[in-house]
Amino acid sequence: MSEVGVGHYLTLSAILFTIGAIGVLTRKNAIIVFMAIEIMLNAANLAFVTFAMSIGDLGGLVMVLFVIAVAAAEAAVGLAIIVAMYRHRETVNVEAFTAMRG
Amino acid sequence: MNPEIQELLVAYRVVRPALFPVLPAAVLTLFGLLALLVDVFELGRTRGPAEGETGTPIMAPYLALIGTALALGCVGWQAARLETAGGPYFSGMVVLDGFGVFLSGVVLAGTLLTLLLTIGYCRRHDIHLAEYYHLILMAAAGMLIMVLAGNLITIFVGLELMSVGVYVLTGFRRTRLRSVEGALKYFVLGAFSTGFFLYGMALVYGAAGTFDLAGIRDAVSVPPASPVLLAGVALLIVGFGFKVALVPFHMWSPDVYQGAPAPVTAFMATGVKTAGFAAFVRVFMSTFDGLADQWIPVLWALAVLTMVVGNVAAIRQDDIKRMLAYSSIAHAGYLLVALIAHSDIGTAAFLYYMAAYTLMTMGAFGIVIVLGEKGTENTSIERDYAGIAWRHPLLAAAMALFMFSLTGIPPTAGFVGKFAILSAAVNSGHVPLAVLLVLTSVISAYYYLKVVVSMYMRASEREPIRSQVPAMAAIALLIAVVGVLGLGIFPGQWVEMARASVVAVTGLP
Repeated sequence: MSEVGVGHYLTLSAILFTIGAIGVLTRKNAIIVFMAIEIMLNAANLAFVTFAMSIGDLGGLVMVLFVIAVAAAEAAVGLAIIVAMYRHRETVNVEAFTAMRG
Repeated sequence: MNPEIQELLVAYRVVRPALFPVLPAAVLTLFGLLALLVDVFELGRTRGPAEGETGTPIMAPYLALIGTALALGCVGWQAARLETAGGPYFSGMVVLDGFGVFLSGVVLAGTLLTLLLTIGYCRRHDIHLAEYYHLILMAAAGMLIMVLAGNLITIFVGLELMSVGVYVLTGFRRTRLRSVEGALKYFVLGAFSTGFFLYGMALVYGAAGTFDLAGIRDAVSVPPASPVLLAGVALLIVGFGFKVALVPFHMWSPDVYQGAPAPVTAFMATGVKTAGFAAFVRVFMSTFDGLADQWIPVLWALAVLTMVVGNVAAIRQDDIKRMLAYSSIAHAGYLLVALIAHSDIGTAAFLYYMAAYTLMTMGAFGIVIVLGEKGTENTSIERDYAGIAWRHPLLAAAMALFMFSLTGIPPTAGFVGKFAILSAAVNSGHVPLAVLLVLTSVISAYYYLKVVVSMYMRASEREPIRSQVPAMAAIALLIAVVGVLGLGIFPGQWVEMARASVVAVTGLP
């Protein structure tokens, strides 16, 4: 059994980021898409923490606090938009919203 | 005097000089909060739960106007004191330099014109909510922070302050399906791009060990570049590409521009693009200067795609907001050419073009806003713009001027701007790119002049648009017309100013 190191954390973060990106592109439910975006942001957070620890710099940890705060603000706005969508079409399926094309 | 107050005064004197670079952003924030606060105390007025309900005009628009004008004054003060006060502040988090101050001025000019145009628009559509003005000011504050940022963290915070505000503004007419649809698309793709931007930041941080732009430059100047660093730079390009709408990261922009309320679209096309490009150019021209051989080919390909796709797709559009969305994509391609030139002349051309682009785009959207009626924005080029010249000769003439300027016909600002970018590109040996810029500009003449043809040479088949131009909107349009002509006929002084602004980049040479 080898020890868990920087490489493992970074691999996990890359996998999470990919899962998030694929989720955004393939899922149709707005709330799931939103969750996938959160996974991407948290993958970046994991990378920040990992690099901060391996470099021995506090900057990465501070950055994570900023990202958490911003993600919370985005969540508030995003969910409000999803509620506004639902009021129009009674669904949160993003494919129902194609009034504009071309 | 009370010793505690004295202590506070001493502390203030220590802190005061450090606040100088963020003064305009602070003024905007203050007035943004004031707009919300005053709204609470405006008792006895009907506050419609949504648009369309008869509400009472409110104080907030005027507070927003005063705040923006004051902030613009502060930027003038910064420009005057640049030689003595320029440099890094807050341990390099913010950098006060000519580049930043010039673009601060452009952003605030765009904000001021947006506000002037917004007030009449909101009256017409009965949107009497202070939040609207609050969000515009906060987004503008975010733009100023982005423009002056000297650190990736500051860029990120400014970017999000701007973006979150604009997501809400896009969906502000929430009883309209298109507004909400635009907000949804903008939010999902904007947050998606934030993910890429953040991951890119993390990789660059891992490779360089710092978020400071100057620190990263020192760390990456030693070749060879590590794969982690290059992956980070690539992800940052994707992140910035989404924000400034480069092809292939542009799919959101036509829908969002079409769905958003017209003044918000104007704000997005000018302010958001200026701030996004400001950070983009600063990061790539100064911080990743040592990696130029790696990023220039990538941006080269993006510029080619952006210019071709933006201009070709604009041809098919009948909705003028959508057409201007593709047009703004095409202009992002031209601006990218100035960045690829990778020289001081290129950066000066970028600054000049950004100012010209803001004025002419704002002017074009100003006409679109003024021609709207209660309940409809009248955006069809074929139907609503036909024969406008006979009923609104002045508006049609102004629109024709903006269209000529966007095409790049002399004697307008657009012509001088394109000329500056072309000469910068040729100077740096990017002749194919310059040729493509000219060819795509020729394509663009088709769809810009289509508007002019519709206004002057078609008979209207619909009932006439009853449009009264509000006084504030008339002032905004006048500013745009004078600006477009002034920058085009007497460009010397402005080009000189742009050059001087590049030389005055003190924090990050």
